[in-house]
Amino acid sequence: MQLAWKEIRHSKGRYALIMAVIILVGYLSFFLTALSYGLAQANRTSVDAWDASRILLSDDANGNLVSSSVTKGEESAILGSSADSEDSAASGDKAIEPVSVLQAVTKIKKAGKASGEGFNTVLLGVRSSSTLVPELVSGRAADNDKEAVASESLSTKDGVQLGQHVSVGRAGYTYTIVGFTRTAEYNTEPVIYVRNGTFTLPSAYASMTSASEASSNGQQQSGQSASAADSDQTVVASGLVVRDASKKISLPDGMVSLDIDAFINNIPGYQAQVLTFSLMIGFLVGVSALVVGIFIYILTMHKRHLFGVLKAQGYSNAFISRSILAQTLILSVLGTLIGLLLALLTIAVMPVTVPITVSPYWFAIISGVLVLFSLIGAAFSARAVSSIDAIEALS
Amino acid sequence: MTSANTNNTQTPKAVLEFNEVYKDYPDGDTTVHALAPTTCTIHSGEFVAVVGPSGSGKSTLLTIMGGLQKPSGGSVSLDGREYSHMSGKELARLRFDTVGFVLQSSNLVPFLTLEEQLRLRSSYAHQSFDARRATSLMQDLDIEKLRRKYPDELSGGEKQRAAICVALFGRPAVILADEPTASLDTSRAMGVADIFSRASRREGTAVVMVTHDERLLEECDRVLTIQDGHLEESTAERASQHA
Repeated sequence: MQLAWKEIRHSKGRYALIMAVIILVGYLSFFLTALSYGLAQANRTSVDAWDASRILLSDDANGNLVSSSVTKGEESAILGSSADSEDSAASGDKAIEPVSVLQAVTKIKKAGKASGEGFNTVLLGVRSSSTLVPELVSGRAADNDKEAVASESLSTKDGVQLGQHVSVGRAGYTYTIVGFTRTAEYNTEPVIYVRNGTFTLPSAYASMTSASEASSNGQQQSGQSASAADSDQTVVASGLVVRDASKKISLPDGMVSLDIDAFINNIPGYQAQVLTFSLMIGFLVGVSALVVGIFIYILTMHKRHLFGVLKAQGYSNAFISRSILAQTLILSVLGTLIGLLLALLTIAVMPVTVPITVSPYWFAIISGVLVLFSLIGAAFSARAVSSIDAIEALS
Repeated sequence: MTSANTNNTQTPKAVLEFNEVYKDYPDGDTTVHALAPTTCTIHSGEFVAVVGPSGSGKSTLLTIMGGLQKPSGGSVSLDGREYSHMSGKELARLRFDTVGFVLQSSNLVPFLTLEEQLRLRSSYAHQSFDARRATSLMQDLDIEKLRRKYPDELSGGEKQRAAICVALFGRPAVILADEPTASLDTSRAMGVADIFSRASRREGTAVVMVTHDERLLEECDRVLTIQDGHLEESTAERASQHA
């Protein structure tokens, strides 16, 4: 290790080139990883906060919560099938909770009127005291149908404040923001948590029977109208979130159960984004390993005479190979650390609107892979040492 | 065969023994006889020159002496150990422990100072660095002031003295020098020969020097002449002993 370090210090210019490659690749890899992770999180943080094992959706929704609808009859059948003596729908089963979703533009209301350009949001309708709402970072929980808690990103990015009234969608559902949760986003939009049933699901229109259509004509504002409330065909939620993996559920016809990871992968655009970034980062690291490996190999071949001299003097192949690997280890660790530092500095100055998140876990993996792949590249050079003949020292 | 007078009274020890050693190379359909069957012994404290025209087999002889390549037949003993059946790793260790090479081109590690070159040897051998021996050797070779210099900061003569210092530091049984004065002017070449001569007497190290330079022969105890792979031995009195 000492020998390797002395050579790097003595031939700074030569090794600076290799180091620069590793720094730049590391920088780009970390930055892309933070972007990829940030974007992935922007798609799924609200779902992760559910801490759910699976979700029940209508089978014609193609795994997409927004397109799904659960009728009162289906909900009752599921909760009834899963209920036991102490765990019933009536008592508010925490293991299975309904969730409704509406993607809509939200505007801040000033002097009783919605104003400004508005911002994209997702309304998630949940039960009162639902465990699907992430922990609050400020304010308090919603107490009634007119109150809502929102992702803190609405406060940091869009300037929404506690106590402000917001108007959601063309229907103009109005809520008062009484609290902010830690960042919760769905499909890259910030989430506003409200009581389930305080807004009409778009899927409800499609699912309504002709009878309920007739009875609900002109009453969309209330969604689940009094006349439809008794009907089993009334849409009461987009899906049912199941937290307990061991819960046995008898699914009625027209409903499917999706593992939560599969559900997240079905969020529109999520998988394409994750795959695109993963491939970019993977190729970047792979190409970097190749470049570093080639650099080290060229340097090794450049030092054939020196290695021949060392071998003539009795230094073993293992000693010389270890020196090459130690050199690569030093260069890759230093290059990766500097790349990481530069990426962190860049991330720190990024505007809050950029979905970028530092993930220590993924950064550690990327660092490990960068160092490991560089060492694998250098291992070919280390192997080449055994082919160098000590007699070359005399030539 | 003449053995050199060493500064101790013990009988000189055989450090290199060739017994019917020969080397053949395949060259297409023919075989090149690089070294004809040769028998010779080099003792501790001897300063031996090997002379001969280019392509006569000098380098082949030197590489077999140093265990850099194995002979096609015969047996070679280096410091009492026959190495024909040794593995590459064992042979490398034998070289490290018993042979010091001084080459025509620099055998110094370019990114280490002179003192670091010596420390590298100690570190590889898992020994503590013998600073007194290092200083004594450097003073003797008049390179003490160069101990913190890198090879590219040294002149040709200084480089050769530094290489000799590194070669001697491990107290080898034999030093094998390949044209060590090829790039040096007369006074520097004579200086290098003088260093070998003194080293062989003081340290009891055998020195085998391949050279074209006849000016150096008067410093040697023996001169071996090689021609077309055949080694002939002649005896020379060390010039210093004549004096």
